[in-house]
Parts: sequence; C-alpha cells; structure tokens
Amino acid sequence: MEVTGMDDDIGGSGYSLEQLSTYLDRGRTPRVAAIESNAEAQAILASMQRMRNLSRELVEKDARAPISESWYDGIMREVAREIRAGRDIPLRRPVDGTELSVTEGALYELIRAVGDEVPGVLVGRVRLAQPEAYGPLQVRMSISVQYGRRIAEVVEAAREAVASAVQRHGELRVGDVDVTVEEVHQDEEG
Amino acid sequence: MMETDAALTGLLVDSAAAQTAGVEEVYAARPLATRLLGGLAGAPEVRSHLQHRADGVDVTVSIGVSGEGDSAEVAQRVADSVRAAAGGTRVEHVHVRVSRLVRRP
Repeated sequence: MEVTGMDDDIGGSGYSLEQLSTYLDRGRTPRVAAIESNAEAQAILASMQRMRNLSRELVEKDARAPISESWYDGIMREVAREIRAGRDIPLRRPVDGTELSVTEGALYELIRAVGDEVPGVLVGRVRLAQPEAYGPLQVRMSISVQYGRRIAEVVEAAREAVASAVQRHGELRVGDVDVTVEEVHQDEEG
Repeated sequence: MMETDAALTGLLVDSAAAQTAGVEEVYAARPLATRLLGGLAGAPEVRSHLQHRADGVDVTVSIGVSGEGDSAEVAQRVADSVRAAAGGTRVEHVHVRVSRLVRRP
C-alpha cells in the first residue's frame, strides 16, 4: 500500500480514507503500525466498521431502503472531516503542570456513536463549537430517522443521550443540542 | 540527557500510561516527521512525545479510553503514573490528551 499525499492524509498516519477502507477490507492484515498507532485512523476504522455493520443489519432485515452507497460515502467523508478537527478541548483547568484535554475528534466519535445507539437514529453530520474557553459546548447534528418512529420523541432521545454522554467527562458542559432530521430510512417494519 | 536515556524514559512513560486502569490504547503523540526520523535512526518506537529541557522534560501522552466513564479521571491517573514512572527525570509538564472515546457495541 502506497503512503498517500498530505492532502488526503488521515491524522498524520500517511494513509487516505480509501486506503483505510482497503485495509479494513483486508482484515487489517498485514498489520500497519502507522495505522494501528494512530488515534484518528483508528477512529475512522471504527466508524467504517460500525457503518458496515449497520448496512449489513438493514440488508439482513430485507430493508426496502437500506443505507445507500452514496449515503455511506457521505457519512465517511463527514467522519474524516470531523476527526481531522483536532483542536484540544480542556477537560478541566490545568493544575500543577498537568493539562488534561480531549480532542474534538474524540468528541465527534463519541457523539456519533451515542446518536447511532438511539433506536431509529442514524447520525449524518455533526458540528461542535465552544464559543468561550471552558464554556458550554454547542452541538448541531443532522440525523436520519427510521420510518414510523415519532420524530419528536426520537429527537429528544438523541438530544438527551448526547448531552449526558459528553457531560460525563471532566468539566465539559453542553449548552444547546440542535438536531435536524434530514432523512427518513425504512426497514421491514416501516 | 543521553539519547538512550531519553528513549528509555519514553518507553517507561508509554508503559506506565498503557498500564493505567481505564486506558484502552496509547497512540502516537509525536508529529509524523519526528516519528519517521526516529524510525530511520533505528530508535525504539516511543508513542509519547517528550521534549527535553535543561532542567526536566515536558511529556505529552495520547490515549484512548472508554466513552462510558469519566475520561478526565483516567487522564489524571495517567498523569500521576507518568510522573512516577519517569524516575529520576524531572517532569515539568504533563499533557494527557484523550484522542479517542471508544464505545463498545
């Protein structure tokens, strides 16, 4: 596998999104240390695996509108963009020469995973902002809702799940969680 | 500090971080160019980033932890472990960066 150019590079691993996809296809063998030791590349691989599992589950359910390839590709491009957002967000104020932080990319990964765990929800796009240092985080996310679900209930569940998951970490606080329903997907129950 | 001492300190720091309760993985905290140069020189792979100063060392560690608990508590334990593991080397500053919050299915 050739090492990619810096423009396509995921997290300084030297590998592009497409190359990571190929690596996953090969069962992650032979092992590439530059990928396995890189947090961003690992987050991308985890997201790819989760999306593939979701796609497989929908196909196995004889879904009439499973996740399309373009939807999958769009999500993976979003994931790559999010994970490259590598700003450090303090988990608390520094004390005695010790600084604790979480990367934006890690929070994006958490928010996306927590959102996808809400029944009937597939997360599309996530945006994160912290207008003031140590201030509350503002979350915006778009989702696809399973056909037949009560949208208001699903949105509220996603909002609560994200706020609860983020606020578990240090002094992080969440302000608004704006959720936009941009798609509806079906399965055999829909 | 001799190069071998520096590499040894780095390996001790990596090991201490990896063995801290709650840490799932230790990732490369050094820039890619630095890692490549280190690899060319045949130095053992150190994932943490150590910047040596006249009177001590600044350490940056990149970790993945479970997204279920409080990552700040895990990161604080890592910082404490790193300071203890550095032995005779004075650690001026420790930055523990949580680079992944992993949710298990």
